[in-house]
Amino acid sequence: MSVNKNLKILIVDDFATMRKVIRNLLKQGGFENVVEAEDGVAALKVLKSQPVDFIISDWNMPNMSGLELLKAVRSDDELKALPFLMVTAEALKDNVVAAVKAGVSNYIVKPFTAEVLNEKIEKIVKSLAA
Amino acid sequence: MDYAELRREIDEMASSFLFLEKKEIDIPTAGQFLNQIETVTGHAETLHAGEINRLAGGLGQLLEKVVLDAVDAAVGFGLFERGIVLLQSVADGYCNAGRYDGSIDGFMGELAGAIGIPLETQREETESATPQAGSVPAGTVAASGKDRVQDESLLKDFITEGLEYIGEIEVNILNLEQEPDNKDYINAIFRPFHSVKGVASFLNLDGIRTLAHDLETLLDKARNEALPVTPELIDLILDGSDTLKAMIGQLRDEMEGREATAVIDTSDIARRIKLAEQGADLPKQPKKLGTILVEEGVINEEELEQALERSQIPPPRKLGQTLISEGIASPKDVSRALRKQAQQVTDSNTIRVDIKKLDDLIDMVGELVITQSMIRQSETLQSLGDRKIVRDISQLASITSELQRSSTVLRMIPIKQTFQRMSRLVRDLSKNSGKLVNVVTVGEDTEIDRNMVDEIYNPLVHMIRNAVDHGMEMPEDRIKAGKPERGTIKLKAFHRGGNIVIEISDDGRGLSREKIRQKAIKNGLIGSTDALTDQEVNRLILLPGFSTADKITDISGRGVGMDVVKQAVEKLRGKMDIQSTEGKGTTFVTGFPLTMAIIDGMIVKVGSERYILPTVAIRQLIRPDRASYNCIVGEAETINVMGRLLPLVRLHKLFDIEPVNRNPWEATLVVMEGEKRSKCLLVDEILGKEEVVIKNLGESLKRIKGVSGGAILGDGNVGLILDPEGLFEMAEAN
Repeated sequence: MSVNKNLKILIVDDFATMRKVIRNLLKQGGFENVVEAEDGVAALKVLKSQPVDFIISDWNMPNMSGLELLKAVRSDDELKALPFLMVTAEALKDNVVAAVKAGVSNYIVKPFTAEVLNEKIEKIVKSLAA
Repeated sequence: MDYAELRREIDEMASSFLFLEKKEIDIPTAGQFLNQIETVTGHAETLHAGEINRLAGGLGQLLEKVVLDAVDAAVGFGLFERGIVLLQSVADGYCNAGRYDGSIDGFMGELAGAIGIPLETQREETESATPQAGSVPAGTVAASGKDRVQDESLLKDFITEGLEYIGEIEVNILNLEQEPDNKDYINAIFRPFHSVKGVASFLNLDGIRTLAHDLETLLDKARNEALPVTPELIDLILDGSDTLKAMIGQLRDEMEGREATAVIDTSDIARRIKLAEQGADLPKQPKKLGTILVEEGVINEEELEQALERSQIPPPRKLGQTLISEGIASPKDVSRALRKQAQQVTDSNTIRVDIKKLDDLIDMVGELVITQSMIRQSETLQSLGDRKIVRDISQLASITSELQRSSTVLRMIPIKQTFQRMSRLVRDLSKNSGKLVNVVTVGEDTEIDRNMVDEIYNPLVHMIRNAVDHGMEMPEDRIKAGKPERGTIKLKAFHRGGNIVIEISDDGRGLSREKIRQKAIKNGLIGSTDALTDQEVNRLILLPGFSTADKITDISGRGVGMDVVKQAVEKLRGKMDIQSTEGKGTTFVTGFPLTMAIIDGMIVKVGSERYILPTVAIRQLIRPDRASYNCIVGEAETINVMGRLLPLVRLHKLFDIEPVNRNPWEATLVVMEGEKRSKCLLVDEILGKEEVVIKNLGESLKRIKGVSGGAILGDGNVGLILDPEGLFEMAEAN
């Protein structure tokens, strides 16, 4: 069974070019239903205003970091089951472990290819469906 | 909390493991287990259940490794399964007997083998996920565009956004400089590097990625307080961001089809970052090859500039190559200069000395100079007529003055850093006001006493603010006036006499003679019919309460005008002048003494007392005619000095001394200039001019009016250094 390509994905990153990079990579994998937010605070606003199926968030952002966003999502009754993919610059043990403990669905290290991104998304979605 | 409860927690973990659907630990599952393990180890610790603590902790690390892909998932799964079973039996033991009779060492050994020893200290930085295989020489931009991501629009976005982000760094660095402990500022500088690095890694811009990564690591260390935020570190970050900007700028040039200039060499900055990370003292930026050649007299400035220009013409060459191939410098000269440059980089023959120690040393040398001069003037010694003693004393004199010269030099530093801060300020200010301004600096290597640097900073900042805010026009106005859109502010420093002269010039609108006149008339500073020279008009803006800007901005209009700047400059015994041509620009010229430790003084005698007057404040020495003296009963005494009536201040009256002469036409008058006014000081005699070392009078005598310090004179006696402004105030109070 393949993953529903019509999944609505929220990209959270303060650097607009980075959002565009991820958007392009998603497009290569067939995901085109994408919304963007520039930090955790903006992301929560989007999440409250429309249904989203999947979150891809950067780790390091002003105002509200990726980890804080993750914690906010996991402690929100309506949002807590949302798949959350964290984008990090390096697989720094402390960061990754903190995210894993906070309930991240998976993480991905920059730079990544469309294939790796696709794999991660499929893995998360499939494990949820199981 | 007791063992039974701890056992329940472990059982719970074991059962959630049993209920795992698939034979694998995915990330969310690992997250759950990690949280459970954290609870268990916490409780085991309070209960002193050592084995449970160790075992659970080991399992936690195993999970972390699995999460980080550092341990094969299947191996991890098997080990975790056995670990949980063992953990249950250890918990059983504690529950039933308060201890575990078996040993967990065998399993722990196996675990350690799988995780890799040492267990705790490892900080895994997995960059192996990086897909690019080809390695680009570290530090240079990969100039070939073929393996770049084809998506040009992404690259364009990156260039625009990247430059914008790095621009933010400069603003935040200024803030950080003021508050080095503020983590928010460090974070704000960290993030742009981080973001640039992230995108650069996708676009295969390895040079940019590497440099941004290095700078990010450096800032991370500063954030974790592993490195102190020093001015050197700040300079390094600024240089780094400049290089990064240049690299992105080069990318843009390439995109827009312009010929690339020279490949940007980042090896130097990379090395400086490495050194800084190791906590080494940051070496100064090595001198440029051209500078060394000019210093050595091999080429002159003009030749250098021309050669530099020609080196830029494609195909770009290094300066040395250009000079040699055009026969301007011999290969020997160039290689010698290159060696000298290399020496600078590796030069570690410097030590850091606390400024207090230097101050003390310079103080003591000052004392030595005085003692030496006392000995030399001793009549007893001179009357001995011993030629050897005379020779030895004169030898002592020359050694002492050499010692004084070289000790004063110790505290001298180049004005460069101050200029760099000024340049940043100009950029920051012009950005806020929407003006386009270039900064040119000349004479950065001019040296000044370290203690003066902080003192001159504020007046200079104010003049810079003034130049940007009031002097510079908006770009559209400049074009209308037929000037280049981008204005220039020039900072220039040089030595003249015992002073450092700092000029701040702009090519802005200049001072409006008419506007200043009108304003001065309105404020009652001059009469409407007064005829003033251009210079006099310009100086009007230095008078208190003068501001010609139509509106008050948050930049310059802070309630202080140029008068405050002038006062600050004069307080440092400096001088200030303005040159301006309407429509062409304005130059502020300020001269400061190189050091605050020595003062050029005029020794005067009143009765049997001797005083030192700062020479900078003296305008004239006169012995007036009887006719120029006016005394009206109930009014102040005045002297007519070339048509100006100046109040007479009797020094003997202020200090209650019996003078030799009471009549001005028999005594000597010193015309002194204070803030806003001049007065004539009546003294008996002028003894001469002398450079004296200023001594503090100590806390208790600090606030005595009219006296700014003391000094030991050449003959060993103490003289008080008088403060003209204080004397004037004393005279006015009487």
